[in-house]
Amino acid sequence: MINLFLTYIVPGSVFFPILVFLLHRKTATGALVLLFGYLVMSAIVNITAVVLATLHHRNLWLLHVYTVLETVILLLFFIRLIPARRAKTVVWSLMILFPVACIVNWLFLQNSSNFNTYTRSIEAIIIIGVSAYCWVSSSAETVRMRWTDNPVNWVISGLLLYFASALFLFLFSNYLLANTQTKADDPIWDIVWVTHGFLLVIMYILFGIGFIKSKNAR
Amino acid sequence: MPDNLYYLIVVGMLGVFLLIALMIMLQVRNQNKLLYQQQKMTEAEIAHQKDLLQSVITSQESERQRIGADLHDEVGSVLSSLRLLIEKHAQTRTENDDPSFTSQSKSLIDRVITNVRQISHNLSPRISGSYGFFDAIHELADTVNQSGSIRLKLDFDENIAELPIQENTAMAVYRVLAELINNTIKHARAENINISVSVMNDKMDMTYTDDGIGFPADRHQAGRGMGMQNIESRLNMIKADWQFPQKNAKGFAMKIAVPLK
Repeated sequence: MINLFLTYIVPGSVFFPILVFLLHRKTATGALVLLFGYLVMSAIVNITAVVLATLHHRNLWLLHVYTVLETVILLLFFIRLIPARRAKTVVWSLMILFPVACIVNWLFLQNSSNFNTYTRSIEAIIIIGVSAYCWVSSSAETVRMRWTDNPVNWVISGLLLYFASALFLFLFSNYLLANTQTKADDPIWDIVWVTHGFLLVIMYILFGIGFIKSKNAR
Repeated sequence: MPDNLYYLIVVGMLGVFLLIALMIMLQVRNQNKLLYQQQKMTEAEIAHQKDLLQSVITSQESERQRIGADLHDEVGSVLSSLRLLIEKHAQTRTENDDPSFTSQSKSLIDRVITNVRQISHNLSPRISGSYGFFDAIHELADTVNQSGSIRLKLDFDENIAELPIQENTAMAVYRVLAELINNTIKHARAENINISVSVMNDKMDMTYTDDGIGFPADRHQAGRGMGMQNIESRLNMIKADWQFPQKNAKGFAMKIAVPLK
């Protein structure tokens, strides 16, 4: 049951916001299109990972590629939301520096047989920081609509909930991987990954709600 | 026994999740509160603007009445005295005096008296009670019909004469009708205006229609006009309801429901 949830249901939940976007594609414009691009990329990576795992091939290298693509697309998404020029420059700089850091990490520190815990946790901190900045700057602006009517609020909440909560997991992924053989019978071991799966599903549901609310932003 | 790291990771994840969820809830509450305050401020601003406009209309009305009364009472009576004086002087005229002077002077004074009376009446129509109100409306209709370019038809309920209408209500409705007629003449390119009035349950229902080019498709475009703003302010002052039915039909139509008590 847990295997079904982790292998198929969690990766498949990415199709929920994708379908919602397609149903609301006339109203979901601007930054939300970039978010849709991110979801499509996630779906492709998830399918590839499931296929590789089914064929008993290693798929951890995908996570290294996914981390770079995810960060770049999400930062592009945030650039569309940030009005301040200086903050935009910082985000552009991060978008160039982070892939460089990922390549250095892959070549010299954590190769494709390890989790990229260093860069994945840095990614989480970047996303948390930029999300929090967007939140604060949008609060400082004149409020035009109810919080729940603004699609961006739902998306940023989803990102914050996922990346902040999963940060601990990103930090200790290699530890978990190293102990997989000896601790696989520990029920807590399953709970860690199930919790992560639920966080991911919550994020995708919040993205879907954001797409539904996109008609209010026009 | 060493700590179970898996357990610590799960607890850490749940703790951060709760913290972020709490932050989101606070943000929702804070932003909605801010929005509520902004809406209240906007409503207060609109109410203030309405009050200001109503004050302007009220003071404009009282000033019109004062000028109208002064013209009628002061200037009118002085002109009447002047006419009498000229008549009296004519009786004592000598053979050298020009006889046409008296008739020309009297004729000019009569014209000035008529004009002054007309201006005074336009500034402040004598409206008190239902009779005065409907007389004033009839006079307005007569003036429009005399122009010949447009035909105004009135359709009144027989029972209306028995109902008391407060003077400020009557004056507001009169001004609204005058403004609507003015709009039709200026903008509508209409041939006919129809005003029908009926009274039921202490409420006067009035329907104004014309067969002109009609209301602009964008309601707000029409709402921006100063004339329409004045109409809405006057109707607000007497707590009347109004609507614009048959949006897509030919011509303009407005239904007004005026409470009489």
